[in-house]
Amino acid sequence: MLRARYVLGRLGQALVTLVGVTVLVFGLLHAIPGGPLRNLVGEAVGADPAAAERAEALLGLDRPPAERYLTWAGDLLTGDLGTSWVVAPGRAVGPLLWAALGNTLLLTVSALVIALALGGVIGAASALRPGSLLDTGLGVVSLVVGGLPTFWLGMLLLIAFAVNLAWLPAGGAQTIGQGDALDRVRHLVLPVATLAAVQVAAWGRYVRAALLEELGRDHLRTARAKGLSESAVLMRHTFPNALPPLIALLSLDVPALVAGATVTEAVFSYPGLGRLLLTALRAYDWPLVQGIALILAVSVVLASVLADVAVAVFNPRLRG
Amino acid sequence: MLPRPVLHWVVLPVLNTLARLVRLRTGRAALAVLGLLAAACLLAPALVPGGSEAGALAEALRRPSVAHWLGTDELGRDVVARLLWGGRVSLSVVLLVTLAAPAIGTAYGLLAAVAPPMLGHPLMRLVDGLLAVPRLPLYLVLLTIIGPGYWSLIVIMVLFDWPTYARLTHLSALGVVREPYVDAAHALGAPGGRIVRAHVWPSIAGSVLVAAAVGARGRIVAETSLSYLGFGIVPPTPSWGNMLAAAQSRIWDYPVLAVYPGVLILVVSVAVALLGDALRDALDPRVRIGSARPSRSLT
Repeated sequence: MLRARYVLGRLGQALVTLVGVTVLVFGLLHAIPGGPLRNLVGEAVGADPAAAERAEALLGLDRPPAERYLTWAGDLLTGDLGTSWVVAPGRAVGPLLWAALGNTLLLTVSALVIALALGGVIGAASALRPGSLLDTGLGVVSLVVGGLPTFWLGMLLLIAFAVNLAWLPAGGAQTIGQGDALDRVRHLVLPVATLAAVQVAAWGRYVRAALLEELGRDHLRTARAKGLSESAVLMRHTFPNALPPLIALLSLDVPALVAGATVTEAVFSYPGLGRLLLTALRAYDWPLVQGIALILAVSVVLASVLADVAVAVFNPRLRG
Repeated sequence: MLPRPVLHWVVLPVLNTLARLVRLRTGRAALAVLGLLAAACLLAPALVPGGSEAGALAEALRRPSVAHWLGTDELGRDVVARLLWGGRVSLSVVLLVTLAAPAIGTAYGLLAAVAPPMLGHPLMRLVDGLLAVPRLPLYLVLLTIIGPGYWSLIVIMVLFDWPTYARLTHLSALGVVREPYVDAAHALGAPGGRIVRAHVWPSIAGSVLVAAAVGARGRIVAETSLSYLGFGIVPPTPSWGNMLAAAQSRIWDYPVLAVYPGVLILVVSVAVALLGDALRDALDPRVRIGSARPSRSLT
């Protein structure tokens, strides 16, 4: 069984990382020359220092940074993520984030599942027949697809299926006025396809490499010599041993997923966390940006901890 | 004549590598494609003296013609001109980052490898931390803070790219430092600097070079994505990324505008991948290339 100390240690590390990231983002946002209100307080108001001061007092910016950070962190513990300044003035940041997060999770998880399944099958097929036409063909396709910018692939799909063929909607998460499951799925098809395509290429390569490494091991020769059928050799010895590095790769893939999702959401105007981040940054809505940064940091750290724990589950040597 | 160190450590290895690259089919193909594109973009001032901004709204969204080989964009500007001038911007950003980030990262990694562990450990923890963050959101935040633009983009991309090379160099250098011949050199009284120069660097130079080339793919995608999102190269300066963003606004009228810059990005990306593969083969002393003479190493 996993040592509790190991898990606790990883969680402790995670907490330290989270604090570090939030401090960093907080510091960055408030280190802008001219103050965080520089871009909000327009020229008209900027000419009147009293108005700028009132705005700062209203938003609590006249207190020292350390105090502001601690207040924000304290509010966090009660579930209050602050109020948006520009994007949805006066409204709480929390609800905005959860809605967007839900959409993004739907997009990312679907794409990841498809990518893992397809990539796994393709990678396994290539590894079991190295050098064959299938293998080289898939290698070439992977080379091309892997170099595509995600957003360009999205635009091409948009042109093909939404503009030319008009089979699928061109953007958004649902048609205004509707919202049933089928409508949402129709809106998800193109973004998920875009995000999954590049991921499939990557996972196909990873799975192929992991399997090829396992297939060269000596203990498989022993298993075959003992009389095990080839499928048993694959199922019982090869695939399970190829899993741990792939699981570790999952956590390393999260940043790429985050980037891909952000760009995909931009192309399809999909109301997810990435698009919210872009909107918030363009509007200089710092509380919103901080909230999003927090969520991203939590997800990356969580993915990393889960991956470490999962690898330890599969590899008894790492358990203590 | 050039000073001897420059000749020995830079010019000769580069020429040697090129010679080996050219003998490989993938190397020839990659160099040809990249060279052609780079030349075309470099010669843009001569090929399209009008610049990338010349155009009239009355000429907007024209189909290809003799005057405009690929038609005109949404503001009436010649697409070929925009592609060439945009290529100058996009390719130069990628080139500068590809030169700077590995250089900085390698120096850092080597330093951390030969430094005492008390210093080396924290140095590498910093690298690990930097490598773990999702880059795109951080790029976006930083570019918002310091403002988008050519040099902002380059500086920020280098800032997050060097850790990869620091880690690669550090790991490789640690491996080399444990080799018996380094022990022997140390026993003979060679100072640390000489060991790094003469023993560590030649062993790891190959993998650093290959990693730098392979990393260029990610940089092209990063630059174009950031420019597409409006945080990198902003109009009116052309870049393949922001050309695609503009094209998306006209996707219902003239969708093919979205194809051209993307095709160029794809071509460069594939060529760079091939170049990386060819470099890997060219720099591996065990791979025999061309003649029957024994393979030589980098220097």
